[in-house]
Amino acid sequence: MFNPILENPTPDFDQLMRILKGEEMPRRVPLVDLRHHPDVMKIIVQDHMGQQWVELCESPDLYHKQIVQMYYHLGYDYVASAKGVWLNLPKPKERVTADTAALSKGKNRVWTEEGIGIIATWEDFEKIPWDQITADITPYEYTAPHVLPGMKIIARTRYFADIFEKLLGLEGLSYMLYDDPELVETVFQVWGEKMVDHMETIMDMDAIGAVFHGDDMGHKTGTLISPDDLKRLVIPWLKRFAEIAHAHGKPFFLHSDGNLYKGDLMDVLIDEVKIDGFHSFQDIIMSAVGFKARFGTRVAILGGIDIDNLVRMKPDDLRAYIRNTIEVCMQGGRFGVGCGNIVTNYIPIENYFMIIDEARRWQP
Amino acid sequence: MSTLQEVRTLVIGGKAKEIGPKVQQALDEGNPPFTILNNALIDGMREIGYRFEQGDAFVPEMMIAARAMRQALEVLRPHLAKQGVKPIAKLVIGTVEGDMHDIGKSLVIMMCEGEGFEVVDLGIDVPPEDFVEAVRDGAQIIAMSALLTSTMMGMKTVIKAISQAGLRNRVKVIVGGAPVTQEFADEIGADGYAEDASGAARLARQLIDMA
Repeated sequence: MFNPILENPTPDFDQLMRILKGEEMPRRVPLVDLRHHPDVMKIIVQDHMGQQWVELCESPDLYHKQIVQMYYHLGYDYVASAKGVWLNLPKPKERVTADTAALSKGKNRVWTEEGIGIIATWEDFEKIPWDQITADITPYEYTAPHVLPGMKIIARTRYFADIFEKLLGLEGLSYMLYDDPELVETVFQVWGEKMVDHMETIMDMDAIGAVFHGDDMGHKTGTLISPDDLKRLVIPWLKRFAEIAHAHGKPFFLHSDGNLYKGDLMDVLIDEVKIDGFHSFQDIIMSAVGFKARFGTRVAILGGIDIDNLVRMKPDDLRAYIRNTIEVCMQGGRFGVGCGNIVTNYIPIENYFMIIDEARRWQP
Repeated sequence: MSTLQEVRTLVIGGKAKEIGPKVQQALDEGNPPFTILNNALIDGMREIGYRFEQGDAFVPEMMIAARAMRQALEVLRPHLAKQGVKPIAKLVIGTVEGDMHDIGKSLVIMMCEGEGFEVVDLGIDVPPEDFVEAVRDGAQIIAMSALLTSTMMGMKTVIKAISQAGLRNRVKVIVGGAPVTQEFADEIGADGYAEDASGAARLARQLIDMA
């Protein structure tokens, strides 16, 4: 099997940013992934780097150090830091079941509660100690001292996803948009202000070089709520977050699952929010190659390799598919290859490594 | 606008509070319950499903329309029962084992109820034997949903379990979900695949009509 571990890589975060912003034509294929599932990181650290995996509870310092080392030795120019939790936010409901993924080894998978969130009424809203809710930035603080020369942290943030997964629930939001629009607007406002504070805080951190903002806005055939509601409730806040990042000279990348391609939503994200790159590609909705043809001169393509193909394609077909995606998307630059969604624990690890292998084989 | 048209409009607009009295008005005017069901409620749900397919309606609009439909049925159901109007078929739905996603499934339930099916929801994380048992209990259609590539393989397991129980020719199996495609449905031996909730209801109806 291909060994992806590099002994002495030479990360260059600034060059990666120039490539993704279209300021430099690439001479290499950069690797870009949103994040790796902990099961995947553990396998890489233990089986491929030959180090003992350290759990977060054993040593936060060593836990984050090993993640930096993993990204470094795989050849990334950055480390995708763990996202901090919101402190003092009442715990939303979660669903837990046995994980069917190949690498999970009998552990559980936690799923988003899709029903009602922690706010269903004004009374629920009033009970939340809003002024005590702050974002935990310790993952960045633990990571920063271990970041190696040439690398930076890419921070991860969320806004709309927190609202429909935790605060209101998707069903709750759906009914509330019609039953109590004022409460919806208030929740979006309060949470937006929280996020602005958080964004200001993390953008001031030198070790953080960019933001990967993750807000799933769509499903297979369309957006979760109407594009008009997204433009009214979500887009102005995304624009504000991007402005904060840009004011600090740091790119703002967006991850969103789902079909955002009906209407002008993607144009709004590119032209008004001014996202610097887009992540999450599912070929059944829009492949990276299709996206390249439609938007590739205006925004960077991040990741791009379809998860379903990574799981189910035969090796030769998968290699040809990855190679073709790289060939097409590298034309004109503004591309970093990686998984279409997170590096999940149900992708055969050799198939994930195939992306890295093909990235290294590419020649300008 | 006729009262039936008004009921249809209230379904489409998701006006749950107003629809009950309007259904009662339609009954008082002498409209047969079956006509109210078909021409106002089912037709209204089909319209919202069509708008969902076209990108003119979204999850919230589907959910409030279904809520209005349920409210209308509260008023209409006793009258339908009196006239012996029965559901067109029994459809049993569930998210396959290991998968706990259910927004898509909820939308399919809404659309299938709106189409006139008796829908039994097995819930999320449903083991294959529960689907098999449902076929034994008279399910004419089994509908399965999955969010992940890793969990959708469970659909194949369910179809295999139904076949091994000797029940495959008694039931039609339809599948859907984020990673599911027509190609995958064919590969695992499902009878049909639909891209969205409205398509699923239409497919289920077609399969029953052909049976």
